[in-house]
Amino acid sequence: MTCTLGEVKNRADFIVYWGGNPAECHPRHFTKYALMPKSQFLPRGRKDRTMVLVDIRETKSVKASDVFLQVRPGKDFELITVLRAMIKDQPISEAQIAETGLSVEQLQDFVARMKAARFGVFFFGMGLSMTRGKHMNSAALLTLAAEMNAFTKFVAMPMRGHGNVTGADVIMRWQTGYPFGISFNRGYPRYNPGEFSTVDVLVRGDTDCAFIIGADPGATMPKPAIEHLKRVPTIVLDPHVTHTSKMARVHITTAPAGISAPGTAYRMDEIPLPLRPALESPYPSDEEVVRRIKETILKKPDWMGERPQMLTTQV
Amino acid sequence: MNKIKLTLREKPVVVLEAEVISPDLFVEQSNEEIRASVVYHGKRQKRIDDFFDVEGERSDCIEIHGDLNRVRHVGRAMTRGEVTIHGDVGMHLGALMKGGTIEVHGNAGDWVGGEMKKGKIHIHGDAGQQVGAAYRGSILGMQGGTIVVDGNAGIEVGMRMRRGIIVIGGTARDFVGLQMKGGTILLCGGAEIRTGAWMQRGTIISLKELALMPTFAESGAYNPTFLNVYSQHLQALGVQLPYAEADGRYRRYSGDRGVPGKGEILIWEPAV
Amino acid sequence: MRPRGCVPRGWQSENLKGPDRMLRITGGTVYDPANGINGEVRDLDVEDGKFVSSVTGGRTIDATGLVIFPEGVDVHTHVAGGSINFARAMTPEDHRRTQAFIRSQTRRSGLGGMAPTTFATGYLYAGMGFTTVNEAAVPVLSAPHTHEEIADIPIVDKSCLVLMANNEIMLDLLEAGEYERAKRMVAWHVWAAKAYGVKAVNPGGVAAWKWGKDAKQRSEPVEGYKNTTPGSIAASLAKIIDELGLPHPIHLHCNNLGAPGNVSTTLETMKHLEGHRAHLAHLQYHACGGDDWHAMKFEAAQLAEYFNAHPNMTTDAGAVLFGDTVTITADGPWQHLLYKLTGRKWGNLDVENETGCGIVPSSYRPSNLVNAVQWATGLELLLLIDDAWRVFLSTDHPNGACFWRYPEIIQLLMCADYRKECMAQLPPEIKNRITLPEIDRECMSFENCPVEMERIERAEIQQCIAA
Ligand SMILES: [Zn+2]
Repeated sequence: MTCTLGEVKNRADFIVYWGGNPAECHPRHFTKYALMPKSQFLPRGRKDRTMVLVDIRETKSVKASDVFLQVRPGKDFELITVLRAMIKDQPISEAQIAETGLSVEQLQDFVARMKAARFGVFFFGMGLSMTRGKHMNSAALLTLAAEMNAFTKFVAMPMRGHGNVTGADVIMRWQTGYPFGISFNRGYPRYNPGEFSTVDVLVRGDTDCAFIIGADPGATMPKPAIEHLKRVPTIVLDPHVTHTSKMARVHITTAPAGISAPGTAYRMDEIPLPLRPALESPYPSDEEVVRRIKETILKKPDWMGERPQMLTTQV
Repeated sequence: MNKIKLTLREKPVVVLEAEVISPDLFVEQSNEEIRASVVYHGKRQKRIDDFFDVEGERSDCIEIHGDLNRVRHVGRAMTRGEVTIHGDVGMHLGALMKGGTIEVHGNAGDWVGGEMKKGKIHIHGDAGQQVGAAYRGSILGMQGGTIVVDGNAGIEVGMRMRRGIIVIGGTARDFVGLQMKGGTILLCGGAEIRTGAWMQRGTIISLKELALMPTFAESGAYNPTFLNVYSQHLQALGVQLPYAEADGRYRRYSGDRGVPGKGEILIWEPAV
Repeated sequence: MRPRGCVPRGWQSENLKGPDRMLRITGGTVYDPANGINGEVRDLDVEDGKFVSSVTGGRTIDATGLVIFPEGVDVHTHVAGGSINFARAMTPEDHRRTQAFIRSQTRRSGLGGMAPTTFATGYLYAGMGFTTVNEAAVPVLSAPHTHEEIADIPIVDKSCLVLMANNEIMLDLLEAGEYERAKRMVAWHVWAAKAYGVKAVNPGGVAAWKWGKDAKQRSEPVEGYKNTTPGSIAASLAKIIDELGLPHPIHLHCNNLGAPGNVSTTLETMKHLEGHRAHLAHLQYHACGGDDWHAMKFEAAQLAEYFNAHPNMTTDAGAVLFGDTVTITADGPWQHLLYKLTGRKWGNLDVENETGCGIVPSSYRPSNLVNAVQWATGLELLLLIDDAWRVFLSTDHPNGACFWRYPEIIQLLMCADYRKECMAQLPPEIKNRITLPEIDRECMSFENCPVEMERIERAEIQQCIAA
């Protein structure tokens, strides 16, 4: 249930930011896409739109909002589920609604506004997707958006963090069918977040080598994962010295992608943006390094052994 | 009785995928064939006897010794026989299982009995996450059979389950019975938060107080008659389920109204 | 876009050196209706990618006991781009139960199923004897994405069609009567998207869907416009495409897909397009008679009759096979209807300035009357259209069925007995709704080889790719 940012810019008259602080984290989001732009369908720009902010605390984004709903920390999933019930006119008691930190009136008003919108959009940030419940919190908001389509047009979109996360996700999908959390150890892609996702694999210490391209898990991952990276041979490709590169056995300096190395980045709405290099770099691109490593590996004796071309039943 | 005994010599360095450890296969194999069965040590194909000492042949009764923490898919899709593990075991134990029994004297990893259809799994220690759950994207989790965990369990116990019974002796974590479509989950030691979230049908029974979702509504207290049938069934598994009115009663909640669903959560209130 | 590792470099015959330029295929049974070869056992000699009378040297392939026939071309399929990629993300459960391709020194890994991965797509098509596939729906904004995926589909040749009929700038220009500027717009879009032709989906309907509405009537103005109707959009586009001299005519997905009674819409559209070339996509979905789901019957005969009399048109069947699939189309309104009917997962993806796309996993069942009628209609169209050179085999992959199930359709077309066997499992109420039982034509009767006419299209496409 999603759309491109251009659709938001041209059509969305009801915008909800959930668990994010766009004023500080995605400053251009307001002006370029979500709030300010005038369009054929919203000629008065900001005046034709309503913005609701849902967060656990007051941030700088509150000022930009028409309605601020301060949800009690850790109650996002509950609140969304209450909303799912309310749009379907299921009775929920006042005391139960109060658990979410909001009043019946606030929620009734919110539901009425959602239903009255011509084109609604939820943007959700790390405040939703990275707190307790994680992927279920995002799933909840996506489900609410899907269910809102019984009344009006509604979409939901994650506000992705730094880097080309979306690009990795998109390419993994067309090459393997899955977005992330993939294992190739059986010769074909298998998917199981929690089992094959990087952080879980490292925390459990399931690997005997790590190859890291353009990421700095040493700065963001939990301690056991970092300890494991120190234990095994870790190879890092990065233009910069990072927490991870410092602990790595090998650090290959590469040309910064998008600045010195060409390629395609995917915007958070999966629109490809070709990047043309502005500066020359003495270092090879990530792609070149990976290709050369691959060529060298191909010269080693085949470790695959006898395997069928195709399997009809997977494990 | 004729038995096959596997003893793990040392814990593998990386994950060992051993779906070939299954009564359905071993029952027809000679000792030499069992030894030669292919397991995956990371990306490499190895033989079972690269890791295990193998005694016995042609039996659907398998006994395994050692720390199998990194050994996954044991008893996958098995339909018969017995697997007994003395030690811990890794993920996907008895996933997609259609019959037989598995007993673990130790802890188990995630996805115990994932999408299982029939059979019985008993974990004497703790279990990981997603006990009896659906794999990502599947519509149905566990569709029958019994899972008993004496210890604690992780998140998403019985996610999208349709039929069958799951008993957690200790405490379960978040999202017990997430999107549950039927079947029964018994929580002897309660659970953390969001129990029964988005459930459509089915029953969750808790012998301890629960923090419920705001989308569940209380609908009376009673001692359902089906519980004494259950109680007898569970007694055979060594689980005590109270049902006599003299001992107390069950408060009944229905939901999840966000769906809207017709599931029920029963919370035991002992008589004072 | 740089070709990725797997695309064999220098595969074009002109790049081959010495003996590699020559190829000899011996002992195969050759079928080639265009050249009047009907099951002859003979040798074939190839030099520089062309058949010649004889070669000396080069490689020899022993094809004894094998059939050699012209390659297949899929004119309407969805194998690359944002929407199929969205569908991949939505169906991990299907990826798990489908066939897996295992990596080797020369082959990439992949998964088949309802929405196969790019590498698997190439292997699966090639395995059926197909050499060219046409991705039928590319929004201009994400065309680079489509081409990146296309570069990862090995072995077969690829082309794509750019979506035009709901482009707001286009609609505004047509509304203002600025025909010439609209024409230049179309030309620019074809260039910018590196497309082979133009696809028009539910003209005006997707634009309306963005407000949660649909364009139901061909003669009524589109939501938000005064004069522009779905009919006028289609007619103008067809004219523009003819005048621009694009090799592929307007690729039209009519309004009211799958809705009872839409056959009148379709016939009306066909009349609007008289005097222009047109390709009507997945005609089966546009052949419903009756007023509602209960009275629904299919009017393949009526459509086929009109079609036979109008040589300006080509079509593809959009046939349906029973089983699970995922429906994905730029036709958002139809998708939402499907979601409500099936209550399954639903994904929707709106792209500015053209398209919306909906994704719903669903299954076709013989016990379901509507599905059964759809199944029969797809086959009826393929069998009733006299000029087999104008009707293409397609399932609108993955909507009607997955492309790797084409051999099943070919068997149904070639063997009347097999058809009867399959018809036995249909519900009895179907009797008066379809004409399939009365048709006993068997397609492989040489002069009507459907595989063959795909060859012509192939020649066309090759020209374009070479250009
Ligand atoms: Zn199509």
